[in-house]
Amino acid sequence: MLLEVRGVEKGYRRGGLFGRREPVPVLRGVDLTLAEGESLGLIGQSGSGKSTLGRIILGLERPDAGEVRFQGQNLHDLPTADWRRARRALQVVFQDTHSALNPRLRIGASIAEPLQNYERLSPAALRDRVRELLALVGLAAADAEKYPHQFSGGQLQRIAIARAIALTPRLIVLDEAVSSLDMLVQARVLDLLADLHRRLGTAYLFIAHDLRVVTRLARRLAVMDAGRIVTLVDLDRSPQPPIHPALQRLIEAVPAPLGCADPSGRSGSA
Amino acid sequence: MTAHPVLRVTELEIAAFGPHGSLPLVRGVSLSVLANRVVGLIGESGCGKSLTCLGILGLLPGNLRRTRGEVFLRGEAVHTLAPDAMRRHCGRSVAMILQNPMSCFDAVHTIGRHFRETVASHGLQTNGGFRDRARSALHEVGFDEPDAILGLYPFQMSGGMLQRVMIALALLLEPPLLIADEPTTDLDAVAQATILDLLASLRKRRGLGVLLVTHDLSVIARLADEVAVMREGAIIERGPVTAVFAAPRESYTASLLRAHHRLDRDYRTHLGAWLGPAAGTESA
Repeated sequence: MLLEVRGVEKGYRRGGLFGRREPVPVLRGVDLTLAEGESLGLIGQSGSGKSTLGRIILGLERPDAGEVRFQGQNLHDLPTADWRRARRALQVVFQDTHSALNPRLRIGASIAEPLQNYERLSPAALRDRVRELLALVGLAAADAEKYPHQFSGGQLQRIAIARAIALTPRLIVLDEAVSSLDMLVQARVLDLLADLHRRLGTAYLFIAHDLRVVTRLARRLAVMDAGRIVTLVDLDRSPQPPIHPALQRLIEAVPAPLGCADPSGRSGSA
Repeated sequence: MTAHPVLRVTELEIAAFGPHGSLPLVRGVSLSVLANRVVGLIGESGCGKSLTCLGILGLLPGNLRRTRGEVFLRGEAVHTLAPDAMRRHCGRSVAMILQNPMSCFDAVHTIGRHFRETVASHGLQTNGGFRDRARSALHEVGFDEPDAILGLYPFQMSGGMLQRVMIALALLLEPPLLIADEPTTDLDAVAQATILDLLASLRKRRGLGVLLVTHDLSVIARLADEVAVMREGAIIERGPVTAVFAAPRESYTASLLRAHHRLDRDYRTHLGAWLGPAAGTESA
């Protein structure tokens, strides 16, 4: 197993300086496994705990109880050298594209940063690698010289993806990575992610609230509700009723088809 | 019924001014919203949808200016008004709700305080009747225990709850026009559905005119009567929603629809039998 989450619990303390600081449980015992190269969708409403779980899996936060094993090792209990190795194999793309990149660094430098941290490449080789990565995500070599403010949200998300795949990680956590994009742009970025998944075989943990988006990349879905994974669904198997109410809610929240002829000629309604 | 549209905009132009001259961002936008009608404005980010809304309300940031065009609220020209005079219209003639309800509230004040401030800023009494008014507004947006809500701080509420409070605040002074700029974009799918249902029922109950800005075609399909497609600062296509969605004239509109249909179709294929009895259910 690439990733094993066992009995993870996490709470945050709420309340002001003088208020009662009662812990609010956010994760109440989460178990989850992810195989090499697998793409798993983690869905649920806001506040269900999916992003917190994502942050714990990334090692950005410690669980209060339970453990996260990545490539067989307990992620939150690693000696520095092993942590560095794990960090390389574990990358992330967040929702907020604008704050994910240093506004004062040229795009080329941002993408080169992880490579410089981990690989000793000559300046020429580094430049070539950055160019290659830009090409992989559909951007031009000349874009390396530009600054983040010169790009649209969709392009910035491509840049964040280029940086995430720079070290050929084993797992990428995509936390609402396309949620703030327009539908046209969203479709292109999803196509890019699907294509990279096929070509590089990187495992994805795809966190989102929109079933339409999640099912583009993942056949296996983990549904979160109130800090627990309440149901695991394999879309390739036939459903065994009853469908969990949390999943049913998400299914019902998907807007109906536009209810008119599809301009591409096929029927718009199911 | 008012004889005038609740909103009429003619040939609105907005430009950005910098050291190297001006750059037109909104180019000749005209539109009307009648009472009890929802007009949708769609297009990708950066096309000028939100600027059009800010231009209508006279809320453009410092380096942007309206360079041409007129704005009428219930027949009254407001584009010539000084900011003070315009502020009196905001809340009474028109209200606006935004994408991110979290940033619209002051974290150190309770919801009740926000209601009091809104009422006070329009020179109305904040005693006695005020609380009833706040209560009924909250009740109208679906809170069964409005008193509990009034005592909460914004951070104690979810995005969907805050957006409903936002709508209650916006409608407190019963304006005939609501400008909703991406009102569901930051919410999760379930909360989105709730807000759309709420807007639909408010429009019906109050005869509200709504200018609805979104990039999500399903939001338009759910709520709007007419749709205008914006691209690079100009409206390139408009008409009744059913007509435009069924037979778009512009290739850009067609590409937006294609992206939407593909997402939808693939989803239904991917989920297959899992859709179960919910498949084909219209959220009417």
